Amino acid sequence: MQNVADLRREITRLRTAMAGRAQSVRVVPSPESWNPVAAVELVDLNLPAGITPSRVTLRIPLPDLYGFACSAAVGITETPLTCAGPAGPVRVPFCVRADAATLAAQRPFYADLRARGDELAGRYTICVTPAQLPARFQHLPLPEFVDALLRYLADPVGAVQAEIERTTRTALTGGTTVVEVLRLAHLLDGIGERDEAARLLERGTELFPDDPWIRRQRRELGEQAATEAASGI
Amino acid sequence: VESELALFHRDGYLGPRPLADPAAFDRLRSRAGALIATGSALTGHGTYARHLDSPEVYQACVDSAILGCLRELVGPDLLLWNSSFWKVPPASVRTPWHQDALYWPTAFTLTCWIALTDVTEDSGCLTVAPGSHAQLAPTIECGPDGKFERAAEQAYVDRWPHRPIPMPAGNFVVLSDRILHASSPNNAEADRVALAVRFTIPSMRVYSDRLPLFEGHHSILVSGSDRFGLNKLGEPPRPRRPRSLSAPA
Repeated sequence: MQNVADLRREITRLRTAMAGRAQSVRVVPSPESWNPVAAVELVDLNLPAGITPSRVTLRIPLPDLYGFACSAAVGITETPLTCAGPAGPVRVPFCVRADAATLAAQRPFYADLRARGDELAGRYTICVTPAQLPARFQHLPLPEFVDALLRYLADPVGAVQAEIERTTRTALTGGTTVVEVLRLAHLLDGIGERDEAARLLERGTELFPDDPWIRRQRRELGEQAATEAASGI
Repeated sequence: VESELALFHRDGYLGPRPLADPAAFDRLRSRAGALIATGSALTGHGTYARHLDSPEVYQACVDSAILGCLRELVGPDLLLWNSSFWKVPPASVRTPWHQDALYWPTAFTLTCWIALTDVTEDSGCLTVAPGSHAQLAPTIECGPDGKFERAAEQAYVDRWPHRPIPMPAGNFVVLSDRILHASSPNNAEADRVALAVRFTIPSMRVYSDRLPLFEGHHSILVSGSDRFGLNKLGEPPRPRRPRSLSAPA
Protein backbone atom coordinates (compact mmCIF):
# COMPACT_ATOMS: atom_id res chain seq x y z
CA MET A 1 0.00 0.00 0.00
CA GLN A 2 1.54 3.31 -1.01
CA ASN A 3 0.88 6.50 -2.91
CA VAL A 4 2.40 8.60 -5.66
CA ALA A 5 4.92 10.12 -3.29
CA ASP A 6 5.98 6.61 -2.26
CA LEU A 7 6.10 5.59 -5.91
CA ARG A 8 8.66 8.34 -6.46
CA ARG A 9 10.67 6.90 -3.55
CA GLU A 10 10.25 3.37 -4.91
CA ILE A 11 11.66 4.46 -8.25
CA THR A 12 14.58 6.19 -6.54
CA ARG A 13 15.30 3.02 -4.57
CA LEU A 14 14.97 0.95 -7.73
CA ARG A 15 17.48 3.20 -9.50
CA THR A 16 19.94 2.63 -6.65
CA ALA A 17 19.34 -1.12 -6.65
CA MET A 18 19.78 -1.35 -10.42
CA ALA A 19 22.97 0.71 -10.58
CA GLY A 20 25.51 -1.45 -12.39
CA ARG A 21 22.82 -4.00 -13.24
CA ALA A 22 20.80 -1.98 -15.74
CA GLN A 23 21.85 0.91 -17.93
CA SER A 24 19.01 3.07 -16.61
CA VAL A 25 15.54 3.04 -15.06
CA ARG A 26 13.14 4.91 -17.33
CA VAL A 27 9.72 6.17 -16.25
CA VAL A 28 7.05 5.84 -18.94
CA PRO A 29 4.42 8.53 -18.32
CA SER A 30 0.73 7.85 -18.78
CA PRO A 31 -1.75 10.04 -20.63
CA GLU A 32 -4.21 9.39 -17.77
CA SER A 33 -3.65 11.93 -15.02
CA TRP A 34 -5.10 9.61 -12.35
CA ASN A 35 -2.54 6.92 -13.28
CA PRO A 36 0.47 9.20 -13.73
CA VAL A 37 3.04 6.47 -14.38
CA ALA A 38 2.16 3.88 -17.02
CA ALA A 39 5.28 1.76 -16.70
CA VAL A 40 8.86 1.59 -15.57
CA GLU A 41 11.54 0.26 -17.89
CA LEU A 42 14.79 -1.32 -16.80
CA VAL A 43 16.94 -0.54 -19.82
CA ASP A 44 19.53 -3.15 -20.81
CA LEU A 45 19.06 -5.18 -17.66
CA ASN A 46 21.68 -7.83 -16.94
CA LEU A 47 19.80 -11.09 -16.27
CA PRO A 48 21.04 -13.92 -14.01
CA ALA A 49 23.51 -16.41 -15.47
CA GLY A 50 21.86 -19.17 -17.48
CA ILE A 51 19.12 -16.97 -18.93
CA THR A 52 19.20 -16.19 -22.65
CA PRO A 53 19.39 -13.46 -23.77
CA SER A 54 21.66 -12.23 -21.03
CA ARG A 55 20.53 -8.61 -21.33
CA VAL A 56 17.02 -7.31 -22.03
CA THR A 57 14.99 -4.18 -21.56
CA LEU A 58 12.31 -5.14 -19.05
CA ARG A 59 9.13 -3.11 -19.06
CA ILE A 60 7.01 -3.22 -15.90
CA PRO A 61 3.49 -1.88 -16.42
CA LEU A 62 1.95 -0.39 -13.29
CA PRO A 63 -1.61 -1.49 -12.64
CA ASP A 64 -4.35 1.09 -12.33
CA LEU A 65 -4.80 1.97 -8.67
CA TYR A 66 -1.10 1.38 -8.08
CA GLY A 67 -1.40 4.35 -5.79
CA PHE A 68 -4.10 2.72 -3.72
CA ALA A 69 -4.38 -1.03 -3.82
CA CYS A 70 -2.40 -2.90 -6.46
CA SER A 71 1.23 -3.87 -6.97
CA ALA A 72 3.27 -4.51 -10.09
CA ALA A 73 3.35 -8.20 -10.93
CA VAL A 74 4.52 -8.57 -14.52
CA GLY A 75 7.51 -7.76 -16.70
CA ILE A 76 7.47 -7.51 -20.49
CA THR A 77 10.41 -8.30 -22.76
CA GLU A 78 10.95 -8.08 -26.52
CA THR A 79 12.15 -11.66 -26.80
CA PRO A 80 11.32 -14.92 -25.01
CA LEU A 81 13.57 -15.88 -22.12
CA THR A 82 15.09 -19.34 -22.08
CA CYS A 83 17.00 -21.27 -19.47
CA ALA A 84 18.79 -24.61 -19.26
CA GLY A 85 16.55 -27.68 -19.16
CA PRO A 86 17.44 -31.38 -18.82
CA ALA A 87 17.55 -31.80 -22.60
CA GLY A 88 18.67 -28.36 -23.68
CA PRO A 89 17.31 -24.83 -23.48
CA VAL A 90 13.66 -24.44 -22.52
CA ARG A 91 11.39 -21.44 -22.29
CA VAL A 92 11.47 -19.94 -18.78
CA PRO A 93 8.31 -21.19 -17.06
CA PHE A 94 5.54 -18.56 -17.19
CA CYS A 95 7.31 -16.49 -19.84
CA VAL A 96 4.53 -16.37 -22.43
CA ARG A 97 3.76 -14.46 -25.59
CA ALA A 98 1.51 -11.44 -25.08
CA ASP A 99 -1.17 -12.37 -27.58
CA ALA A 100 -4.06 -10.15 -28.58
CA ALA A 101 -6.53 -11.93 -26.30
CA THR A 102 -4.30 -11.55 -23.22
CA LEU A 103 -3.66 -7.91 -23.93
CA ALA A 104 -7.36 -7.24 -24.48
CA ALA A 105 -8.21 -8.97 -21.21
CA GLN A 106 -5.63 -6.91 -19.29
CA ARG A 107 -6.31 -3.61 -21.03
CA PRO A 108 -8.87 -2.38 -18.49
CA PHE A 109 -6.33 -2.81 -15.70
CA TYR A 110 -3.24 -1.16 -17.21
CA ALA A 111 -2.89 2.38 -18.55
CA ASP A 112 0.20 1.22 -20.45
CA LEU A 113 -1.83 -1.29 -22.43
CA ARG A 114 -4.56 1.22 -23.16
CA ALA A 115 -2.05 3.75 -24.41
CA ARG A 116 0.46 1.48 -26.13
CA GLY A 117 -1.12 -1.98 -26.29
CA ASP A 118 -0.48 -2.31 -30.01
CA GLU A 119 3.25 -1.75 -29.54
CA LEU A 120 3.34 -4.40 -26.83
CA ALA A 121 1.54 -7.11 -28.81
CA GLY A 122 3.83 -10.00 -29.64
CA ARG A 123 6.24 -9.30 -26.82
CA TYR A 124 6.67 -11.71 -23.90
CA THR A 125 5.37 -11.43 -20.38
CA ILE A 126 6.72 -12.93 -17.22
CA CYS A 127 4.54 -12.86 -14.18
CA VAL A 128 5.67 -13.34 -10.59
CA THR A 129 3.12 -13.28 -7.80
CA PRO A 130 3.41 -14.51 -4.23
CA ALA A 131 2.36 -18.08 -3.51
CA GLN A 132 0.02 -16.88 -0.84
CA LEU A 133 -1.71 -13.56 -0.90
CA PRO A 134 -0.60 -11.38 1.99
CA ALA A 135 -3.06 -9.77 4.34
CA ARG A 136 -5.22 -7.08 2.80
CA PHE A 137 -3.45 -4.08 1.34
CA GLN A 138 0.10 -5.33 1.78
CA HIS A 139 1.86 -3.59 -1.06
CA LEU A 140 4.91 -5.06 -2.78
CA PRO A 141 7.10 -2.10 -3.75
CA LEU A 142 8.81 -2.04 -7.15
CA PRO A 143 12.36 -2.78 -5.92
CA GLU A 144 11.09 -5.85 -4.04
CA PHE A 145 9.13 -7.01 -7.09
CA VAL A 146 12.19 -6.72 -9.31
CA ASP A 147 14.27 -8.50 -6.70
CA ALA A 148 11.73 -11.36 -6.58
CA LEU A 149 11.71 -11.58 -10.37
CA LEU A 150 15.51 -11.73 -10.57
CA ARG A 151 15.65 -14.35 -7.82
CA TYR A 152 13.12 -16.42 -9.75
CA LEU A 153 15.20 -16.09 -12.93
CA ALA A 154 18.28 -17.35 -11.10
CA ASP A 155 16.72 -20.85 -11.20
CA PRO A 156 13.22 -20.73 -12.68
CA VAL A 157 12.73 -24.47 -13.21
CA GLY A 158 14.02 -25.24 -9.74
CA ALA A 159 11.75 -22.57 -8.26
CA VAL A 160 8.68 -24.07 -9.92
CA GLN A 161 9.64 -27.61 -8.91
CA ALA A 162 10.11 -26.46 -5.31
CA GLU A 163 6.73 -24.81 -5.44
CA ILE A 164 5.14 -27.99 -6.80
CA GLU A 165 6.64 -29.95 -3.92
CA ARG A 166 5.49 -27.37 -1.39
CA THR A 167 1.96 -27.28 -2.76
CA THR A 168 1.79 -31.08 -2.91
CA ARG A 169 2.92 -31.29 0.71
CA THR A 170 0.24 -28.76 1.69
CA ALA A 171 -2.40 -30.82 -0.13
CA LEU A 172 -1.23 -34.06 1.46
CA THR A 173 -1.00 -32.74 4.99
CA GLY A 174 -3.88 -30.29 5.12
CA GLY A 175 -6.32 -31.94 2.71
CA THR A 176 -6.71 -31.06 -0.93
CA THR A 177 -8.67 -27.92 -1.65
CA VAL A 178 -9.63 -26.26 -4.91
CA VAL A 179 -6.75 -23.81 -4.43
CA GLU A 180 -4.15 -26.60 -4.42
CA VAL A 181 -5.66 -28.25 -7.49
CA LEU A 182 -5.64 -24.98 -9.43
CA ARG A 183 -2.18 -24.03 -8.30
CA LEU A 184 -0.61 -27.41 -8.97
CA ALA A 185 -2.15 -27.59 -12.43
CA HIS A 186 -0.91 -24.09 -13.19
CA LEU A 187 2.61 -24.96 -12.01
CA LEU A 188 2.69 -28.22 -13.98
CA ASP A 189 1.54 -26.41 -17.09
CA GLY A 190 4.20 -23.75 -16.53
CA ILE A 191 6.93 -26.36 -16.37
CA GLY A 192 5.70 -28.04 -19.56
CA GLU A 193 3.89 -30.97 -17.93
CA ARG A 194 0.64 -30.22 -19.68
CA ASP A 195 -0.70 -33.79 -19.78
CA GLU A 196 -0.08 -34.13 -16.06
CA ALA A 197 -1.86 -30.81 -15.49
CA ALA A 198 -4.83 -31.99 -17.55
CA ARG A 199 -5.04 -35.25 -15.58
CA LEU A 200 -4.92 -33.33 -12.32
CA LEU A 201 -7.72 -31.01 -13.40
CA GLU A 202 -9.78 -34.00 -14.49
CA ARG A 203 -9.33 -35.52 -11.05
CA GLY A 204 -10.12 -32.12 -9.55
CA THR A 205 -13.39 -32.04 -11.44
CA GLU A 206 -14.30 -35.38 -9.87
CA LEU A 207 -13.37 -34.16 -6.41
CA PHE A 208 -15.07 -30.78 -6.75
CA PRO A 209 -17.76 -31.27 -9.41
CA ASP A 210 -19.44 -27.92 -8.72
CA ASP A 211 -16.35 -25.77 -8.81
CA PRO A 212 -16.41 -23.32 -11.74
CA TRP A 213 -12.72 -22.39 -11.46
CA ILE A 214 -11.45 -25.90 -12.06
CA ARG A 215 -13.80 -26.30 -15.03
CA ARG A 216 -12.59 -22.97 -16.39
CA GLN A 217 -8.90 -23.79 -15.99
CA ARG A 218 -9.47 -27.17 -17.63
CA ARG A 219 -11.19 -25.52 -20.59
CA GLU A 220 -8.45 -22.91 -20.92
CA LEU A 221 -5.73 -25.53 -20.80
CA GLY A 222 -7.44 -27.41 -23.65
CA GLU A 223 -7.86 -24.23 -25.69
CA GLN A 224 -4.23 -23.28 -25.13
CA ALA A 225 -3.04 -26.70 -26.30
CA ALA A 226 -5.23 -26.47 -29.40
CA THR A 227 -3.96 -22.96 -30.22
CA GLU A 228 -0.36 -24.01 -29.83
CA ALA A 229 -0.88 -27.13 -31.92
CA ALA A 230 -2.50 -25.06 -34.65
CA SER A 231 0.29 -22.48 -34.67
CA GLY A 232 3.03 -25.10 -34.50
CA ILE A 233 4.50 -23.82 -31.21
CA VAL B 1 1.14 23.86 -6.89
CA GLU B 2 0.73 20.22 -6.04
CA SER B 3 -1.91 18.35 -7.97
CA GLU B 4 -5.07 17.23 -6.21
CA LEU B 5 -3.96 13.66 -6.84
CA ALA B 6 -0.59 14.22 -5.16
CA LEU B 7 -2.26 15.95 -2.21
CA PHE B 8 -4.75 13.13 -1.81
CA HIS B 9 -2.03 10.52 -2.01
CA ARG B 10 0.06 12.42 0.52
CA ASP B 11 -2.68 13.14 3.05
CA GLY B 12 -5.32 10.47 2.37
CA TYR B 13 -8.10 13.03 2.12
CA LEU B 14 -9.12 16.07 0.10
CA GLY B 15 -11.29 19.06 0.99
CA PRO B 16 -13.47 20.45 2.34
CA ARG B 17 -15.12 21.74 -0.81
CA PRO B 18 -18.59 23.13 -1.42
CA LEU B 19 -21.19 21.09 -3.27
CA ALA B 20 -22.02 22.49 -6.70
CA ASP B 21 -25.81 22.38 -6.45
CA PRO B 22 -27.12 24.24 -3.37
CA ALA B 23 -30.76 23.68 -4.38
CA ALA B 24 -30.31 19.90 -4.45
CA PHE B 25 -28.52 20.11 -1.12
CA ASP B 26 -31.41 22.09 0.41
CA ARG B 27 -33.88 19.45 -0.81
CA LEU B 28 -31.76 16.74 0.81
CA ARG B 29 -31.48 18.66 4.06
CA SER B 30 -35.19 19.25 4.30
CA ARG B 31 -35.93 15.53 3.71
CA ALA B 32 -33.14 14.00 5.80
CA GLY B 33 -34.95 13.98 9.14
CA ALA B 34 -38.04 12.28 7.71
CA LEU B 35 -35.99 9.75 5.79
CA ILE B 36 -34.01 8.72 8.85
CA ALA B 37 -37.16 8.51 10.97
CA THR B 38 -39.26 6.46 8.57
CA GLY B 39 -36.76 3.94 7.25
CA SER B 40 -36.27 2.52 3.80
CA ALA B 41 -38.82 0.22 2.17
CA LEU B 42 -35.84 -1.65 0.73
CA THR B 43 -33.81 -2.23 3.89
CA GLY B 44 -36.12 -1.20 6.69
CA HIS B 45 -33.24 0.90 7.94
CA GLY B 46 -33.37 4.68 8.21
CA THR B 47 -29.77 5.53 7.57
CA TYR B 48 -28.33 2.96 5.12
CA ALA B 49 -28.38 3.12 1.35
CA ARG B 50 -31.10 5.71 1.10
CA HIS B 51 -29.74 6.77 -2.29
CA LEU B 52 -31.54 3.69 -3.59
CA ASP B 53 -35.00 4.89 -2.62
CA SER B 54 -34.68 8.65 -2.18
CA PRO B 55 -34.10 10.87 -5.22
CA GLU B 56 -32.99 13.66 -2.90
CA VAL B 57 -30.23 11.54 -1.41
CA TYR B 58 -29.18 10.24 -4.81
CA GLN B 59 -28.96 13.74 -6.30
CA ALA B 60 -26.69 14.90 -3.48
CA CYS B 61 -24.50 11.81 -3.91
CA VAL B 62 -23.89 12.63 -7.57
CA ASP B 63 -23.32 16.36 -7.13
CA SER B 64 -21.04 17.48 -9.94
CA ALA B 65 -18.41 18.80 -7.50
CA ILE B 66 -18.18 15.34 -5.92
CA LEU B 67 -17.98 13.47 -9.20
CA GLY B 68 -15.47 15.97 -10.59
CA CYS B 69 -13.25 15.47 -7.59
CA LEU B 70 -13.44 11.68 -7.79
CA ARG B 71 -12.65 11.68 -11.50
CA GLU B 72 -9.43 13.55 -10.75
CA LEU B 73 -8.46 10.82 -8.31
CA VAL B 74 -9.47 7.60 -10.08
CA GLY B 75 -10.63 8.47 -13.57
CA PRO B 76 -14.03 8.64 -15.21
CA ASP B 77 -15.55 5.26 -14.28
CA LEU B 78 -17.34 5.42 -10.94
CA LEU B 79 -19.76 3.22 -9.03
CA LEU B 80 -21.88 4.44 -6.14
CA TRP B 81 -22.25 1.42 -3.88
CA ASN B 82 -23.51 2.70 -0.54
CA SER B 83 -24.40 5.69 1.56
CA SER B 84 -25.24 6.25 5.19
CA PHE B 85 -26.55 9.08 7.27
CA TRP B 86 -24.73 9.87 10.48
CA LYS B 87 -27.03 11.63 12.91
CA VAL B 88 -25.20 12.38 16.12
CA PRO B 89 -27.28 13.90 18.92
CA PRO B 90 -25.80 16.13 21.62
CA ALA B 91 -23.78 14.33 24.32
CA SER B 92 -23.38 11.22 22.21
CA VAL B 93 -20.30 9.00 22.53
CA ARG B 94 -17.26 9.65 20.40
CA THR B 95 -16.48 7.69 17.25
CA PRO B 96 -13.13 5.97 17.92
CA TRP B 97 -10.12 6.14 15.62
CA HIS B 98 -10.55 3.63 12.84
CA GLN B 99 -9.92 2.85 9.18
CA ASP B 100 -13.02 2.18 7.07
CA ALA B 101 -11.25 -0.35 4.87
CA LEU B 102 -11.49 -2.98 7.60
CA TYR B 103 -15.26 -2.89 7.46
CA TRP B 104 -16.20 -2.66 3.77
CA PRO B 105 -17.12 -5.51 1.43
CA THR B 106 -14.87 -4.18 -1.32
CA ALA B 107 -11.12 -3.69 -1.57
CA PHE B 108 -11.28 -0.05 -2.55
CA THR B 109 -13.60 2.75 -1.52
CA LEU B 110 -13.54 6.51 -1.65
CA THR B 111 -15.92 8.13 0.81
CA CYS B 112 -17.45 11.55 0.30
CA TRP B 113 -18.51 12.86 3.69
CA ILE B 114 -21.12 15.61 3.25
CA ALA B 115 -21.98 17.91 6.16
CA LEU B 116 -25.74 18.42 6.41
CA THR B 117 -25.34 20.72 9.41
CA ASP B 118 -22.54 23.13 10.23
CA VAL B 119 -19.83 20.99 11.79
CA THR B 120 -17.50 22.51 14.36
CA GLU B 121 -14.92 21.20 16.77
CA ASP B 122 -17.54 21.73 19.47
CA SER B 123 -20.04 19.51 17.68
CA GLY B 124 -17.40 16.80 17.23
CA CYS B 125 -16.25 17.32 13.67
CA LEU B 126 -14.43 14.69 11.71
CA THR B 127 -10.76 14.51 12.69
CA VAL B 128 -8.25 12.81 10.40
CA ALA B 129 -4.65 11.65 10.71
CA PRO B 130 -3.05 12.87 7.46
CA GLY B 131 -0.71 10.31 5.92
CA SER B 132 -2.04 7.41 8.00
CA HIS B 133 -3.67 5.80 4.95
CA ALA B 134 -0.29 4.39 3.93
CA GLN B 135 -0.50 1.48 6.35
CA LEU B 136 -2.96 -0.51 8.39
CA ALA B 137 -3.21 0.36 12.05
CA PRO B 138 -3.08 -2.30 14.78
CA THR B 139 -6.49 -2.58 16.42
CA ILE B 140 -7.91 -3.41 19.82
CA GLU B 141 -11.35 -4.49 20.94
CA CYS B 142 -13.62 -1.68 22.08
CA GLY B 143 -15.56 -1.96 25.28
CA PRO B 144 -19.28 -2.72 25.31
CA ASP B 145 -20.09 1.00 25.32
CA GLY B 146 -18.18 1.70 22.13
CA LYS B 147 -19.73 2.41 18.76
CA PHE B 148 -17.46 -0.07 17.02
CA GLU B 149 -16.24 -3.55 17.86
CA ARG B 150 -12.62 -2.64 17.15
CA ALA B 151 -10.66 0.60 17.09
CA ALA B 152 -7.09 1.58 16.26
CA GLU B 153 -4.55 1.33 19.08
CA GLN B 154 -4.22 4.75 20.69
CA ALA B 155 -0.41 4.57 20.92
CA TYR B 156 -0.31 4.02 17.16
CA VAL B 157 -2.82 6.81 16.51
CA ASP B 158 -0.74 9.21 18.59
CA ARG B 159 2.19 8.81 16.22
CA TRP B 160 0.27 10.73 13.57
CA PRO B 161 -0.71 14.40 13.42
CA HIS B 162 -4.41 14.95 14.09
CA ARG B 163 -6.31 17.45 11.96
CA PRO B 164 -9.91 18.45 12.75
CA ILE B 165 -12.00 19.30 9.67
CA PRO B 166 -14.71 21.78 10.64
CA MET B 167 -16.90 22.76 7.72
CA PRO B 168 -20.14 24.56 6.94
CA ALA B 169 -23.22 22.63 5.86
CA GLY B 170 -23.12 21.83 2.16
CA ASN B 171 -19.41 21.06 2.10
CA PHE B 172 -17.76 17.68 1.67
CA VAL B 173 -14.44 15.92 2.08
CA VAL B 174 -13.16 12.89 0.18
CA LEU B 175 -11.55 10.24 2.36
CA SER B 176 -9.39 7.26 1.50
CA ASP B 177 -10.85 4.09 2.99
CA ARG B 178 -7.55 3.68 4.83
CA ILE B 179 -7.15 7.03 6.54
CA LEU B 180 -7.42 6.98 10.32
CA HIS B 181 -10.30 9.16 11.40
CA ALA B 182 -12.50 9.75 14.42
CA SER B 183 -14.90 12.26 15.89
CA SER B 184 -15.36 13.65 19.38
CA PRO B 185 -18.64 13.64 21.30
CA ASN B 186 -21.12 16.23 20.10
CA ASN B 187 -20.92 18.95 22.76
CA ALA B 188 -23.14 21.38 20.87
CA GLU B 189 -26.87 21.74 21.46
CA ALA B 190 -28.10 20.47 18.10
CA ASP B 191 -27.73 17.21 16.17
CA ARG B 192 -24.70 16.85 13.94
CA VAL B 193 -25.84 15.25 10.69
CA ALA B 194 -23.77 14.04 7.76
CA LEU B 195 -24.18 11.81 4.75
CA ALA B 196 -21.28 9.48 3.95
CA VAL B 197 -21.33 8.34 0.33
CA ARG B 198 -19.26 5.33 -0.77
CA PHE B 199 -17.82 5.03 -4.26
CA THR B 200 -15.61 2.50 -5.95
CA ILE B 201 -14.52 1.76 -9.51
CA PRO B 202 -15.92 -0.98 -11.75
CA SER B 203 -12.78 -3.16 -11.59
CA MET B 204 -13.46 -3.72 -7.88
CA ARG B 205 -16.02 -6.28 -6.79
CA VAL B 206 -18.60 -5.21 -4.23
CA TYR B 207 -19.68 -8.24 -2.25
CA SER B 208 -23.37 -7.54 -1.91
CA ASP B 209 -23.91 -10.54 0.33
CA ARG B 210 -21.61 -9.16 3.03
CA LEU B 211 -22.46 -6.69 5.74
CA PRO B 212 -23.52 -3.94 5.74
CA LEU B 213 -25.19 -4.76 2.42
CA PHE B 214 -28.38 -6.70 1.94
CA GLU B 215 -30.44 -8.76 -0.46
CA GLY B 216 -31.56 -6.57 -3.32
CA HIS B 217 -28.57 -4.27 -3.07
CA HIS B 218 -27.13 -2.93 -6.30
CA SER B 219 -24.50 -0.41 -7.27
CA ILE B 220 -25.18 2.49 -9.61
CA LEU B 221 -22.84 3.51 -12.41
CA VAL B 222 -22.71 7.28 -11.89
CA SER B 223 -19.97 8.20 -14.35
CA GLY B 224 -18.21 6.65 -17.33
CA SER B 225 -18.62 3.02 -18.25
CA ASP B 226 -18.32 -0.44 -16.69
CA ARG B 227 -15.96 -2.63 -18.75
CA PHE B 228 -15.84 -5.36 -16.12
CA GLY B 229 -19.36 -6.49 -15.31
CA LEU B 230 -18.32 -7.66 -11.84
CA ASN B 231 -21.14 -6.00 -9.97
CA LYS B 232 -24.88 -5.99 -10.01
CA LEU B 233 -25.88 -2.60 -11.34
CA GLY B 234 -29.24 -0.91 -11.13
CA GLU B 235 -31.00 2.32 -11.79
CA PRO B 236 -31.16 5.33 -9.47
CA PRO B 237 -34.50 6.16 -7.84
CA ARG B 238 -36.91 8.01 -10.07
CA PRO B 239 -37.23 11.72 -9.38
CA ARG B 240 -40.36 12.66 -7.49
CA ARG B 241 -43.00 14.32 -9.62
CA PRO B 242 -43.89 17.85 -8.68
CA ARG B 243 -47.23 17.90 -6.84
CA SER B 244 -49.00 19.77 -9.60
CA LEU B 245 -48.24 16.95 -12.03
CA SER B 246 -49.40 14.13 -9.75
CA ALA B 247 -52.39 12.15 -10.93
CA PRO B 248 -55.53 12.88 -8.95
CA ALA B 249 -56.41 10.25 -6.35
